[in-house]
Amino acid sequence: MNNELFVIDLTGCTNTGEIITSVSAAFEVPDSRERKIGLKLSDITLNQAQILSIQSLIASYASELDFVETLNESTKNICENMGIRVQTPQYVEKHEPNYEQIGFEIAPKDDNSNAQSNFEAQPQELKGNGLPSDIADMGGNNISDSLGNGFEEFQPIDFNEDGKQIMETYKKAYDEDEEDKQTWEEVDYYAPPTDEPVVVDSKQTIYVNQTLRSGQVLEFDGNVVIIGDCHPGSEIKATGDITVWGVLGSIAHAGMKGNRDAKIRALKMNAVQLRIANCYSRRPDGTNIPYIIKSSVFTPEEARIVDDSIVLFKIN
Amino acid sequence: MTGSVIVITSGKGGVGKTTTSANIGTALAKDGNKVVLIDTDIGLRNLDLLLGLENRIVYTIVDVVEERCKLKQALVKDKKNPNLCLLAAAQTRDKSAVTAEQLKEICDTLKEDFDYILVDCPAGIEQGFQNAVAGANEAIVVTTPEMSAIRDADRIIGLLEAKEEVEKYRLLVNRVRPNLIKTNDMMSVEDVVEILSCDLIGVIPEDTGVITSTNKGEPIVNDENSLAGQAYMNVAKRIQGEEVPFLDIDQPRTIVEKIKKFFSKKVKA
Repeated sequence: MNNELFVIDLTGCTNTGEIITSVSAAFEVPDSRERKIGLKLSDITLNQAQILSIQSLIASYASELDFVETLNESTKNICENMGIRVQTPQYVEKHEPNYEQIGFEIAPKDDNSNAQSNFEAQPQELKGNGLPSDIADMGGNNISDSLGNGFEEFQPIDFNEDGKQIMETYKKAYDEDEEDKQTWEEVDYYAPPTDEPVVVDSKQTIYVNQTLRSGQVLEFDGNVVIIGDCHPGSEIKATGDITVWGVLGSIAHAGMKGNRDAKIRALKMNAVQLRIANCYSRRPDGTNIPYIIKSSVFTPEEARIVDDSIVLFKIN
Repeated sequence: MTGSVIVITSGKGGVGKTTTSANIGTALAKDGNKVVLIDTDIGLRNLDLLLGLENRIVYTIVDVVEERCKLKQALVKDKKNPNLCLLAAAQTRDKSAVTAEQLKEICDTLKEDFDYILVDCPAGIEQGFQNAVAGANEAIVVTTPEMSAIRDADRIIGLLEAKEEVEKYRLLVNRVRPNLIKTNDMMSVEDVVEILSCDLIGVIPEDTGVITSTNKGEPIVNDENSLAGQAYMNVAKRIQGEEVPFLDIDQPRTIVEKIKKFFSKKVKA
Protein backbone atom coordinates (compact mmCIF):
# COMPACT_ATOMS: atom_id res chain seq x y z
CA MET A 1 0.00 0.00 0.00
CA ASN A 2 1.28 3.40 -1.01
CA ASN A 3 1.26 5.62 2.03
CA GLU A 4 0.57 8.77 0.08
CA LEU A 5 -2.72 10.35 1.06
CA PHE A 6 -5.17 10.99 -1.73
CA VAL A 7 -7.85 13.50 -0.83
CA ILE A 8 -11.04 13.45 -2.85
CA ASP A 9 -13.18 16.53 -2.63
CA LEU A 10 -16.87 15.69 -2.63
CA THR A 11 -18.09 18.94 -1.16
CA GLY A 12 -20.14 19.67 -4.27
CA CYS A 13 -21.94 16.34 -4.27
CA THR A 14 -25.55 16.46 -3.19
CA ASN A 15 -26.42 12.77 -3.37
CA THR A 16 -24.80 9.34 -3.17
CA GLY A 17 -24.94 8.87 -6.93
CA GLU A 18 -22.76 11.93 -7.45
CA ILE A 19 -20.37 10.80 -4.75
CA ILE A 20 -19.99 7.40 -6.36
CA THR A 21 -19.43 8.98 -9.80
CA SER A 22 -16.87 11.36 -8.38
CA VAL A 23 -15.00 8.68 -6.46
CA SER A 24 -14.91 6.36 -9.49
CA ALA A 25 -13.74 9.27 -11.65
CA ALA A 26 -10.95 9.98 -9.19
CA PHE A 27 -9.58 6.51 -9.69
CA GLU A 28 -9.49 6.92 -13.45
CA VAL A 29 -6.17 8.72 -13.08
CA PRO A 30 -3.13 6.45 -13.40
CA ASP A 31 -1.30 5.55 -10.18
CA SER A 32 -4.32 6.31 -8.09
CA ARG A 33 -4.71 2.75 -6.83
CA GLU A 34 -3.36 1.40 -3.55
CA ARG A 35 -3.51 4.57 -1.60
CA LYS A 36 -5.02 5.93 1.54
CA ILE A 37 -8.09 7.91 0.68
CA GLY A 38 -9.51 10.93 2.45
CA LEU A 39 -13.00 12.13 1.60
CA LYS A 40 -14.14 15.71 2.00
CA LEU A 41 -17.89 15.71 2.26
CA SER A 42 -20.36 18.56 2.30
CA ASP A 43 -23.33 18.77 4.65
CA ILE A 44 -24.81 15.64 3.07
CA THR A 45 -26.36 13.02 5.38
CA LEU A 46 -25.11 9.53 4.66
CA ASN A 47 -26.38 6.37 6.29
CA GLN A 48 -24.34 3.34 7.17
CA ALA A 49 -25.21 1.45 4.01
CA GLN A 50 -24.18 4.36 1.82
CA ILE A 51 -20.87 4.76 3.62
CA LEU A 52 -20.31 1.02 3.36
CA SER A 53 -20.91 1.10 -0.37
CA ILE A 54 -18.46 3.99 -0.78
CA GLN A 55 -15.98 2.06 1.33
CA SER A 56 -16.36 -1.06 -0.77
CA LEU A 57 -15.99 1.00 -3.94
CA ILE A 58 -12.71 2.37 -2.64
CA ALA A 59 -11.65 -1.12 -1.59
CA SER A 60 -12.32 -2.34 -5.13
CA TYR A 61 -9.54 -0.02 -6.26
CA ALA A 62 -7.20 -1.68 -3.73
CA SER A 63 -7.25 1.48 -1.65
CA GLU A 64 -8.27 2.17 1.91
CA LEU A 65 -10.57 4.83 3.36
CA ASP A 66 -8.42 6.71 5.83
CA PHE A 67 -10.55 9.59 6.97
CA VAL A 68 -13.76 11.41 6.27
CA GLU A 69 -14.16 15.12 6.59
CA THR A 70 -17.73 16.25 7.15
CA LEU A 71 -19.84 18.99 8.65
CA ASN A 72 -22.86 16.77 9.10
CA GLU A 73 -23.32 15.54 12.67
CA SER A 74 -25.21 12.37 11.79
CA THR A 75 -22.70 11.31 9.14
CA LYS A 76 -19.93 12.08 11.60
CA ASN A 77 -21.49 9.87 14.27
CA ILE A 78 -22.10 6.98 11.90
CA CYS A 79 -18.51 7.16 10.63
CA GLU A 80 -17.18 7.19 14.17
CA ASN A 81 -19.30 4.17 15.03
CA MET A 82 -17.92 2.37 11.99
CA GLY A 83 -14.39 3.11 13.14
CA ILE A 84 -13.59 5.58 10.38
CA ARG A 85 -11.46 8.53 11.40
CA VAL A 86 -13.42 11.77 11.18
CA GLN A 87 -11.86 15.17 10.65
CA THR A 88 -13.50 18.50 11.09
CA PRO A 89 -13.19 20.59 7.95
CA GLN A 90 -10.84 23.49 8.16
CA TYR A 91 -13.11 25.59 6.02
CA VAL A 92 -16.42 26.81 7.28
CA GLU A 93 -18.62 27.49 4.29
CA LYS A 94 -19.25 25.32 1.28
CA HIS A 95 -17.25 26.47 -1.65
CA GLU A 96 -17.07 26.33 -5.39
CA PRO A 97 -14.83 23.78 -7.07
CA ASN A 98 -11.27 24.69 -7.66
CA TYR A 99 -11.39 25.66 -11.31
CA GLU A 100 -14.29 27.97 -10.76
CA GLN A 101 -12.63 29.67 -7.88
CA ILE A 102 -9.68 30.51 -9.98
CA GLY A 103 -11.93 31.87 -12.67
CA PHE A 104 -13.69 33.85 -10.05
CA GLU A 105 -10.59 35.32 -8.55
CA ILE A 106 -9.32 36.55 -11.88
CA ALA A 107 -12.55 38.27 -12.78
CA PRO A 108 -13.89 41.35 -11.01
CA LYS A 109 -15.20 40.33 -7.64
CA ASP A 110 -18.65 41.83 -7.91
CA ASP A 111 -19.62 39.75 -10.94
CA ASN A 112 -19.52 36.13 -10.01
CA SER A 113 -21.69 34.56 -12.68
CA ASN A 114 -19.98 36.44 -15.43
CA ALA A 115 -16.63 35.24 -14.30
CA GLN A 116 -17.77 31.69 -14.36
CA SER A 117 -19.14 31.81 -17.86
CA ASN A 118 -16.07 33.62 -19.10
CA PHE A 119 -13.97 30.87 -17.74
CA GLU A 120 -15.99 28.14 -19.29
CA ALA A 121 -16.08 29.78 -22.67
CA GLN A 122 -12.37 30.43 -22.84
CA PRO A 123 -10.51 27.76 -21.01
CA GLN A 124 -7.42 28.34 -23.09
CA GLU A 125 -6.90 31.72 -21.54
CA LEU A 126 -6.11 30.20 -18.23
CA LYS A 127 -3.65 27.78 -19.57
CA GLY A 128 -0.69 30.04 -19.35
CA ASN A 129 -1.39 31.20 -15.86
CA GLY A 130 0.37 28.59 -13.88
CA LEU A 131 -2.51 26.13 -13.90
CA PRO A 132 -2.01 22.45 -14.45
CA SER A 133 -2.84 22.11 -18.11
CA ASP A 134 -5.35 19.29 -17.79
CA ILE A 135 -7.47 21.33 -15.39
CA ALA A 136 -7.76 24.05 -17.96
CA ASP A 137 -8.52 21.53 -20.65
CA MET A 138 -11.25 19.94 -18.68
CA GLY A 139 -12.74 23.28 -17.79
CA GLY A 140 -14.36 23.78 -21.15
CA ASN A 141 -15.37 20.20 -21.59
CA ASN A 142 -18.99 19.26 -21.17
CA ILE A 143 -18.25 15.88 -19.72
CA SER A 144 -16.32 17.27 -16.85
CA ASP A 145 -18.98 19.90 -16.34
CA SER A 146 -21.56 17.23 -16.01
CA LEU A 147 -19.33 15.39 -13.62
CA GLY A 148 -19.79 18.60 -11.77
CA ASN A 149 -17.99 19.11 -8.61
CA GLY A 150 -16.21 15.84 -8.60
CA PHE A 151 -14.06 17.39 -11.27
CA GLU A 152 -11.17 18.44 -9.16
CA GLU A 153 -10.37 14.90 -8.26
CA PHE A 154 -8.40 14.77 -11.45
CA GLN A 155 -5.91 16.89 -9.60
CA PRO A 156 -5.90 15.81 -5.99
CA ILE A 157 -5.02 18.94 -4.15
CA ASP A 158 -4.38 19.33 -0.51
CA PHE A 159 -6.01 22.64 0.06
CA ASN A 160 -3.77 24.01 2.70
CA GLU A 161 -0.56 23.49 0.87
CA ASP A 162 -1.17 23.24 -2.84
CA GLY A 163 -3.82 25.93 -2.69
CA LYS A 164 -1.26 28.27 -1.37
CA GLN A 165 1.12 27.22 -4.04
CA ILE A 166 -1.29 28.14 -6.78
CA MET A 167 -1.83 31.50 -5.15
CA GLU A 168 1.86 32.02 -5.07
CA THR A 169 2.00 31.38 -8.78
CA TYR A 170 -0.59 34.06 -9.16
CA LYS A 171 1.46 36.35 -7.07
CA LYS A 172 4.32 35.94 -9.46
CA ALA A 173 2.21 36.20 -12.56
CA TYR A 174 0.18 39.22 -11.63
CA ASP A 175 1.42 41.03 -8.62
CA GLU A 176 4.93 42.12 -8.30
CA ASP A 177 3.85 44.95 -6.07
CA GLU A 178 4.37 44.50 -2.35
CA GLU A 179 1.00 45.95 -1.35
CA ASP A 180 -0.94 43.73 -3.69
CA LYS A 181 0.83 40.74 -2.31
CA GLN A 182 -0.68 41.44 1.07
CA THR A 183 -4.17 41.67 -0.36
CA TRP A 184 -3.70 38.32 -2.03
CA GLU A 185 -2.90 36.75 1.24
CA GLU A 186 -5.95 38.26 2.81
CA VAL A 187 -8.25 36.98 0.12
CA ASP A 188 -10.21 33.96 1.23
CA TYR A 189 -9.10 31.15 -0.96
CA TYR A 190 -12.57 29.76 -1.19
CA ALA A 191 -15.14 31.61 -3.18
CA PRO A 192 -18.24 32.67 -1.29
CA PRO A 193 -21.11 30.21 -1.36
CA THR A 194 -23.72 30.80 -4.01
CA ASP A 195 -27.31 29.65 -3.95
CA GLU A 196 -27.26 28.83 -7.63
CA PRO A 197 -28.32 25.24 -8.21
CA VAL A 198 -25.80 23.00 -9.86
CA VAL A 199 -27.00 22.52 -13.42
CA VAL A 200 -26.76 18.87 -14.25
CA ASP A 201 -27.05 17.62 -17.77
CA SER A 202 -29.69 14.93 -17.52
CA LYS A 203 -28.19 13.13 -20.52
CA GLN A 204 -25.23 12.07 -18.48
CA THR A 205 -24.80 8.40 -17.76
CA ILE A 206 -23.25 6.61 -14.84
CA TYR A 207 -21.66 3.19 -15.22
CA VAL A 208 -21.73 1.07 -12.12
CA ASN A 209 -19.51 -1.95 -12.27
CA GLN A 210 -20.72 -3.86 -9.23
CA THR A 211 -23.54 -5.93 -7.86
CA LEU A 212 -26.20 -3.89 -6.11
CA ARG A 213 -26.98 -5.65 -2.90
CA SER A 214 -29.95 -5.50 -0.56
CA GLY A 215 -30.26 -2.11 1.10
CA GLN A 216 -28.13 -0.24 -1.42
CA VAL A 217 -29.74 2.65 -3.24
CA LEU A 218 -28.41 4.09 -6.46
CA GLU A 219 -29.95 7.46 -7.13
CA PHE A 220 -28.76 9.41 -10.13
CA ASP A 221 -29.77 12.38 -12.20
CA GLY A 222 -29.34 10.86 -15.65
CA ASN A 223 -29.07 7.39 -17.11
CA VAL A 224 -27.82 4.42 -15.16
CA VAL A 225 -25.98 1.42 -16.57
CA ILE A 226 -25.28 -1.37 -14.13
CA ILE A 227 -22.87 -4.06 -15.14
CA GLY A 228 -23.83 -6.71 -12.62
CA ASP A 229 -26.93 -8.00 -10.88
CA CYS A 230 -29.40 -6.03 -8.79
CA HIS A 231 -30.44 -8.10 -5.83
CA PRO A 232 -33.88 -7.83 -4.20
CA GLY A 233 -34.01 -5.14 -1.55
CA SER A 234 -31.90 -2.66 -3.47
CA GLU A 235 -33.27 0.31 -5.35
CA ILE A 236 -32.27 2.11 -8.52
CA LYS A 237 -33.67 5.56 -9.08
CA ALA A 238 -32.76 7.56 -12.16
CA THR A 239 -34.19 10.52 -14.02
CA GLY A 240 -33.28 8.83 -17.29
CA ASP A 241 -33.11 5.23 -18.48
CA ILE A 242 -31.96 2.25 -16.48
CA THR A 243 -30.01 -0.55 -18.12
CA VAL A 244 -28.95 -3.61 -16.18
CA TRP A 245 -26.40 -5.93 -17.73
CA GLY A 246 -27.42 -8.80 -15.49
CA VAL A 247 -30.43 -9.87 -13.47
CA LEU A 248 -32.72 -7.06 -12.34
CA GLY A 249 -34.35 -8.37 -9.19
CA SER A 250 -34.93 -5.16 -7.30
CA ILE A 251 -37.04 -2.04 -7.50
CA ALA A 252 -36.22 0.17 -10.48
CA HIS A 253 -37.59 3.65 -10.98
CA ALA A 254 -36.73 5.29 -14.30
CA GLY A 255 -37.76 8.78 -15.35
CA MET A 256 -38.03 9.71 -11.71
CA LYS A 257 -38.80 13.37 -12.35
CA GLY A 258 -41.60 12.66 -14.79
CA ASN A 259 -39.90 11.50 -17.96
CA ARG A 260 -42.48 9.10 -19.39
CA ASP A 261 -40.20 8.15 -22.27
CA ALA A 262 -37.71 6.54 -19.91
CA LYS A 263 -37.06 2.85 -20.31
CA ILE A 264 -35.82 0.03 -18.13
CA ARG A 265 -33.81 -2.73 -19.77
CA ALA A 266 -32.33 -5.87 -18.28
CA LEU A 267 -30.81 -9.08 -19.49
CA LYS A 268 -33.16 -10.90 -17.17
CA MET A 269 -36.16 -9.10 -15.81
CA ASN A 270 -37.20 -10.32 -12.38
CA ALA A 271 -37.90 -6.93 -10.82
CA VAL A 272 -40.03 -6.70 -7.69
CA GLN A 273 -41.45 -3.43 -8.92
CA LEU A 274 -40.97 -1.37 -12.05
CA ARG A 275 -41.72 2.32 -11.92
CA ILE A 276 -41.49 4.72 -14.82
CA ALA A 277 -42.34 8.37 -14.12
CA ASN A 278 -45.65 8.12 -12.27
CA CYS A 279 -46.56 4.60 -13.44
CA TYR A 280 -46.10 1.57 -11.24
CA SER A 281 -46.23 -2.13 -11.86
CA ARG A 282 -45.38 -5.12 -9.72
CA ARG A 283 -44.22 -8.65 -10.30
CA PRO A 284 -47.09 -11.15 -10.67
CA ASP A 285 -47.78 -13.03 -7.44
CA GLY A 286 -47.32 -16.48 -8.95
CA THR A 287 -43.69 -15.68 -9.69
CA ASN A 288 -43.03 -14.32 -6.25
CA ILE A 289 -39.78 -16.15 -5.69
CA PRO A 290 -37.79 -14.57 -2.89
CA TYR A 291 -34.42 -15.35 -4.41
CA ILE A 292 -32.89 -14.42 -7.70
CA ILE A 293 -33.12 -16.97 -10.43
CA LYS A 294 -29.56 -17.33 -11.55
CA SER A 295 -29.83 -18.57 -15.06
CA SER A 296 -27.55 -18.80 -17.99
CA VAL A 297 -30.51 -18.31 -20.27
CA PHE A 298 -31.05 -14.60 -20.59
CA THR A 299 -34.15 -13.13 -22.08
CA PRO A 300 -33.40 -9.43 -22.51
CA GLU A 301 -36.46 -7.30 -22.01
CA GLU A 302 -37.30 -3.62 -22.10
CA ALA A 303 -40.02 -1.94 -20.07
CA ARG A 304 -41.70 1.21 -21.30
CA ILE A 305 -44.97 3.05 -20.88
CA VAL A 306 -47.77 2.20 -23.28
CA ASP A 307 -51.10 3.88 -22.58
CA ASP A 308 -50.40 4.64 -18.92
CA SER A 309 -49.23 1.16 -18.08
CA ILE A 310 -45.81 -0.43 -18.07
CA VAL A 311 -45.33 -3.03 -20.77
CA LEU A 312 -42.42 -5.41 -21.23
CA PHE A 313 -41.00 -5.98 -24.70
CA LYS A 314 -38.51 -8.61 -25.74
CA ILE A 315 -35.31 -7.24 -27.14
CA ASN A 316 -34.06 -9.20 -30.10
CA MET B 1 -61.96 0.38 19.67
CA THR B 2 -58.77 -0.14 21.60
CA GLY B 3 -56.62 -2.85 20.21
CA SER B 4 -53.80 -4.48 22.05
CA VAL B 5 -50.23 -4.03 20.94
CA ILE B 6 -48.24 -7.24 21.15
CA VAL B 7 -44.53 -7.25 20.61
CA ILE B 8 -42.90 -10.47 19.42
CA THR B 9 -39.33 -10.59 20.60
CA SER B 10 -36.55 -13.02 21.50
CA GLY B 11 -33.16 -11.42 21.93
CA LYS B 12 -31.43 -14.11 19.94
CA GLY B 13 -31.74 -14.11 16.19
CA GLY B 14 -33.01 -16.99 14.11
CA VAL B 15 -35.40 -18.46 16.65
CA GLY B 16 -38.48 -17.62 14.59
CA LYS B 17 -39.74 -14.18 15.58
CA THR B 18 -40.71 -13.19 12.07
CA THR B 19 -42.26 -16.57 11.27
CA THR B 20 -44.23 -16.38 14.52
CA SER B 21 -45.39 -12.83 13.74
CA ALA B 22 -46.55 -13.75 10.26
CA ASN B 23 -48.37 -16.87 11.43
CA ILE B 24 -50.02 -15.43 14.53
CA GLY B 25 -51.05 -12.37 12.53
CA THR B 26 -52.60 -14.51 9.80
CA ALA B 27 -54.26 -16.78 12.35
CA LEU B 28 -55.79 -13.84 14.25
CA ALA B 29 -57.05 -12.37 10.97
CA LYS B 30 -58.54 -15.75 10.00
CA ASP B 31 -60.54 -15.64 13.24
CA GLY B 32 -62.09 -12.38 12.05
CA ASN B 33 -59.96 -9.85 13.92
CA LYS B 34 -58.56 -6.75 12.30
CA VAL B 35 -54.82 -7.18 12.51
CA VAL B 36 -51.85 -5.05 11.55
CA LEU B 37 -48.31 -6.39 11.49
CA ILE B 38 -45.50 -3.89 12.00
CA ASP B 39 -42.00 -4.85 10.91
CA THR B 40 -39.51 -2.86 12.98
CA ASP B 41 -36.44 -4.63 11.65
CA ILE B 42 -35.41 -1.64 9.57
CA GLY B 43 -32.60 -2.46 7.18
CA LEU B 44 -33.14 -6.22 7.45
CA ARG B 45 -36.80 -6.62 6.73
CA ASN B 46 -38.23 -10.06 6.07
CA LEU B 47 -41.83 -10.04 7.21
CA ASP B 48 -43.00 -8.90 3.76
CA LEU B 49 -41.31 -11.93 2.23
CA LEU B 50 -43.01 -14.38 4.57
CA LEU B 51 -46.39 -12.91 3.74
CA GLY B 52 -45.61 -12.75 0.02
CA LEU B 53 -46.19 -9.01 -0.09
CA GLU B 54 -42.73 -7.95 -1.19
CA ASN B 55 -43.88 -6.70 -4.57
CA ARG B 56 -46.63 -4.53 -3.11
CA ILE B 57 -44.56 -2.31 -0.86
CA VAL B 58 -44.34 1.28 -1.97
CA TYR B 59 -44.23 3.19 1.30
CA THR B 60 -42.59 2.04 4.49
CA ILE B 61 -42.62 2.94 8.17
CA VAL B 62 -39.77 5.39 7.57
CA ASP B 63 -41.86 7.20 4.95
CA VAL B 64 -44.65 7.47 7.53
CA VAL B 65 -42.31 8.82 10.18
CA GLU B 66 -40.71 11.28 7.78
CA GLU B 67 -44.18 12.35 6.60
CA ARG B 68 -43.80 11.41 2.98
CA CYS B 69 -47.10 9.55 3.13
CA LYS B 70 -50.07 8.98 5.41
CA LEU B 71 -50.15 6.01 7.74
CA LYS B 72 -53.07 4.44 5.87
CA GLN B 73 -51.23 4.67 2.56
CA ALA B 74 -48.35 2.66 3.96
CA LEU B 75 -50.53 -0.25 5.13
CA VAL B 76 -50.28 -3.13 2.66
CA LYS B 77 -53.36 -5.33 2.58
CA ASP B 78 -52.82 -9.09 2.53
CA LYS B 79 -53.57 -10.98 -0.68
CA LYS B 80 -56.03 -13.40 0.86
CA ASN B 81 -57.30 -11.85 4.04
CA PRO B 82 -58.56 -8.26 3.89
CA ASN B 83 -58.45 -8.12 7.71
CA LEU B 84 -54.67 -8.35 7.70
CA CYS B 85 -52.38 -5.41 6.98
CA LEU B 86 -48.62 -4.99 6.95
CA LEU B 87 -46.63 -1.90 7.78
CA ALA B 88 -43.27 -2.74 6.21
CA ALA B 89 -39.83 -1.64 7.31
CA ALA B 90 -37.48 0.23 5.00
CA GLN B 91 -34.68 -1.87 3.64
CA THR B 92 -32.44 1.00 2.68
CA ARG B 93 -32.19 2.66 6.09
CA ASP B 94 -31.12 1.63 9.58
CA LYS B 95 -32.65 1.38 13.04
CA SER B 96 -31.93 5.02 13.89
CA ALA B 97 -34.42 6.16 11.23
CA VAL B 98 -37.30 5.69 13.71
CA THR B 99 -37.43 6.68 17.36
CA ALA B 100 -39.29 4.96 20.18
CA GLU B 101 -41.70 7.91 20.52
CA GLN B 102 -42.55 7.82 16.82
CA LEU B 103 -43.30 4.09 16.96
CA LYS B 104 -45.44 4.54 20.04
CA GLU B 105 -47.40 7.23 18.23
CA ILE B 106 -47.96 4.91 15.25
CA CYS B 107 -49.14 2.12 17.58
CA ASP B 108 -51.49 4.49 19.39
CA THR B 109 -53.01 5.63 16.09
CA LEU B 110 -53.44 2.08 14.83
CA LYS B 111 -55.04 0.97 18.10
CA GLU B 112 -58.15 2.94 17.18
CA ASP B 113 -58.80 0.95 14.01
CA PHE B 114 -57.37 -2.50 14.68
CA ASP B 115 -57.96 -5.27 17.23
CA TYR B 116 -54.39 -6.50 17.30
CA ILE B 117 -51.16 -4.75 16.45
CA LEU B 118 -48.31 -7.24 16.25
CA VAL B 119 -44.84 -5.72 16.35
CA ASP B 120 -42.06 -7.88 14.92
CA CYS B 121 -38.97 -6.99 16.91
CA PRO B 122 -35.43 -7.19 15.55
CA ALA B 123 -32.81 -9.35 17.26
CA GLY B 124 -30.71 -7.71 19.93
CA ILE B 125 -31.45 -5.38 22.81
CA GLU B 126 -30.37 -2.11 21.20
CA GLN B 127 -32.28 0.73 19.60
CA GLY B 128 -34.39 -1.62 17.45
CA PHE B 129 -35.64 -3.53 20.48
CA GLN B 130 -36.28 -0.35 22.46
CA ASN B 131 -38.31 1.04 19.53
CA ALA B 132 -40.38 -2.10 19.12
CA VAL B 133 -41.20 -2.40 22.80
CA ALA B 134 -42.10 1.28 23.20
CA GLY B 135 -45.75 1.05 22.22
CA ALA B 136 -46.45 -2.49 23.39
CA ASN B 137 -48.70 -3.56 26.23
CA GLU B 138 -48.18 -7.29 25.79
CA ALA B 139 -45.20 -9.36 24.76
CA ILE B 140 -44.56 -12.81 23.37
CA VAL B 141 -41.04 -14.05 24.02
CA VAL B 142 -39.98 -16.60 21.42
CA THR B 143 -37.32 -19.11 22.33
CA THR B 144 -36.05 -22.49 21.22
CA PRO B 145 -35.04 -25.28 23.63
CA GLU B 146 -31.36 -24.34 23.45
CA MET B 147 -29.23 -22.80 26.18
CA SER B 148 -28.17 -19.79 24.12
CA ALA B 149 -31.74 -18.88 23.14
CA ILE B 150 -32.94 -19.40 26.70
CA ARG B 151 -30.25 -17.17 28.16
CA ASP B 152 -31.13 -14.40 25.68
CA ALA B 153 -34.83 -14.86 26.41
CA ASP B 154 -34.09 -14.51 30.13
CA ARG B 155 -32.32 -11.22 29.45
CA ILE B 156 -35.27 -10.02 27.38
CA ILE B 157 -37.78 -10.97 30.08
CA GLY B 158 -35.73 -8.96 32.56
CA LEU B 159 -35.90 -5.93 30.27
CA LEU B 160 -39.61 -6.40 29.69
CA GLU B 161 -40.28 -6.58 33.44
CA ALA B 162 -38.62 -3.20 33.79
CA LYS B 163 -41.09 -1.67 31.32
CA GLU B 164 -44.23 -0.55 33.07
CA GLU B 165 -46.31 -0.42 29.87
CA VAL B 166 -45.84 -4.13 29.19
CA GLU B 167 -48.62 -5.67 31.27
CA LYS B 168 -47.91 -9.31 30.53
CA TYR B 169 -45.42 -11.42 28.70
CA ARG B 170 -45.74 -15.03 27.69
CA LEU B 171 -43.38 -17.60 26.38
CA LEU B 172 -43.55 -19.38 23.05
CA VAL B 173 -41.23 -22.36 22.62
CA ASN B 174 -40.44 -22.85 18.98
CA ARG B 175 -38.81 -25.62 16.96
CA VAL B 176 -39.44 -28.36 19.49
CA ARG B 177 -38.42 -31.83 18.36
CA PRO B 178 -40.26 -34.48 20.41
CA ASN B 179 -38.03 -37.34 19.31
CA LEU B 180 -34.93 -35.51 20.56
CA ILE B 181 -36.62 -34.77 23.87
CA LYS B 182 -37.42 -38.45 24.23
CA THR B 183 -33.78 -39.39 23.85
CA ASN B 184 -32.79 -36.63 26.29
CA ASP B 185 -30.91 -34.75 23.58
CA MET B 186 -33.10 -31.68 23.84
CA MET B 187 -34.51 -29.79 26.77
CA SER B 188 -38.19 -30.43 27.29
CA VAL B 189 -40.70 -27.62 27.21
CA GLU B 190 -41.28 -28.09 30.94
CA ASP B 191 -37.58 -27.53 31.56
CA VAL B 192 -37.61 -24.32 29.53
CA VAL B 193 -40.65 -23.03 31.38
CA GLU B 194 -39.07 -23.91 34.70
CA ILE B 195 -35.79 -22.18 33.88
CA LEU B 196 -37.51 -19.01 32.70
CA SER B 197 -40.43 -19.19 35.18
CA CYS B 198 -42.79 -17.63 32.73
CA ASP B 199 -46.32 -18.39 31.46
CA LEU B 200 -46.45 -20.50 28.34
CA ILE B 201 -48.53 -19.41 25.36
CA GLY B 202 -47.63 -22.12 22.90
CA VAL B 203 -45.36 -24.89 21.77
CA ILE B 204 -44.53 -25.10 18.09
CA PRO B 205 -43.01 -28.31 16.75
CA GLU B 206 -40.20 -28.26 14.24
CA ASP B 207 -41.78 -28.56 10.83
CA THR B 208 -40.04 -28.66 7.48
CA GLY B 209 -43.18 -27.14 6.01
CA VAL B 210 -42.16 -23.84 7.60
CA ILE B 211 -39.18 -23.57 5.26
CA THR B 212 -41.33 -24.26 2.23
CA SER B 213 -43.96 -21.79 3.34
CA THR B 214 -41.33 -19.10 3.91
CA ASN B 215 -39.99 -19.55 0.41
CA LYS B 216 -43.47 -19.54 -1.07
CA GLY B 217 -44.45 -16.44 0.85
CA GLU B 218 -47.46 -18.05 2.46
CA PRO B 219 -47.77 -18.52 6.25
CA ILE B 220 -48.04 -22.12 7.38
CA VAL B 221 -51.32 -21.52 9.24
CA ASN B 222 -52.97 -21.57 5.81
CA ASP B 223 -51.97 -25.23 5.55
CA GLU B 224 -54.52 -27.09 7.64
CA ASN B 225 -52.59 -30.36 7.63
CA SER B 226 -49.52 -28.85 9.22
CA LEU B 227 -48.92 -29.46 12.88
CA ALA B 228 -46.98 -26.20 13.24
CA GLY B 229 -49.87 -24.41 11.57
CA GLN B 230 -52.35 -25.89 14.06
CA ALA B 231 -50.08 -24.94 16.93
CA TYR B 232 -49.97 -21.33 15.70
CA MET B 233 -53.78 -21.31 15.36
CA ASN B 234 -53.97 -22.40 19.00
CA VAL B 235 -51.60 -19.62 20.04
CA ALA B 236 -53.88 -17.14 18.28
CA LYS B 237 -56.86 -18.57 20.18
CA ARG B 238 -55.02 -18.15 23.49
CA ILE B 239 -54.21 -14.54 22.61
CA GLN B 240 -57.94 -13.99 22.14
CA GLY B 241 -58.50 -15.32 25.66
CA GLU B 242 -59.75 -18.80 24.84
CA GLU B 243 -58.64 -21.78 26.90
CA VAL B 244 -57.12 -24.24 24.46
CA PRO B 245 -55.29 -27.37 25.59
CA PHE B 246 -51.72 -27.71 24.38
CA LEU B 247 -51.35 -29.68 21.23
CA ASP B 248 -49.89 -33.15 21.42
CA ILE B 249 -46.86 -32.47 19.29
CA ASP B 250 -45.75 -36.06 19.54
CA GLN B 251 -48.38 -37.08 17.03
CA PRO B 252 -47.38 -39.81 14.60
CA ARG B 253 -47.03 -38.30 11.16
CA THR B 254 -46.61 -41.22 8.81
CA ILE B 255 -48.27 -44.60 8.67
CA VAL B 256 -45.07 -46.30 9.83
CA GLU B 257 -44.88 -43.98 12.85
CA LYS B 258 -48.53 -44.62 13.60
CA ILE B 259 -47.98 -48.37 13.60
CA LYS B 260 -44.85 -47.95 15.73
CA LYS B 261 -46.70 -45.82 18.24
CA PHE B 262 -49.60 -48.25 18.36
CA PHE B 263 -47.28 -51.10 19.22
CA SER B 264 -45.19 -49.12 21.69
CA LYS B 265 -48.37 -48.25 23.58
CA LYS B 266 -49.26 -51.90 23.73
CA VAL B 267 -45.88 -52.78 25.10
CA LYS B 268 -46.12 -50.09 27.78
CA ALA B 269 -49.57 -51.24 28.76
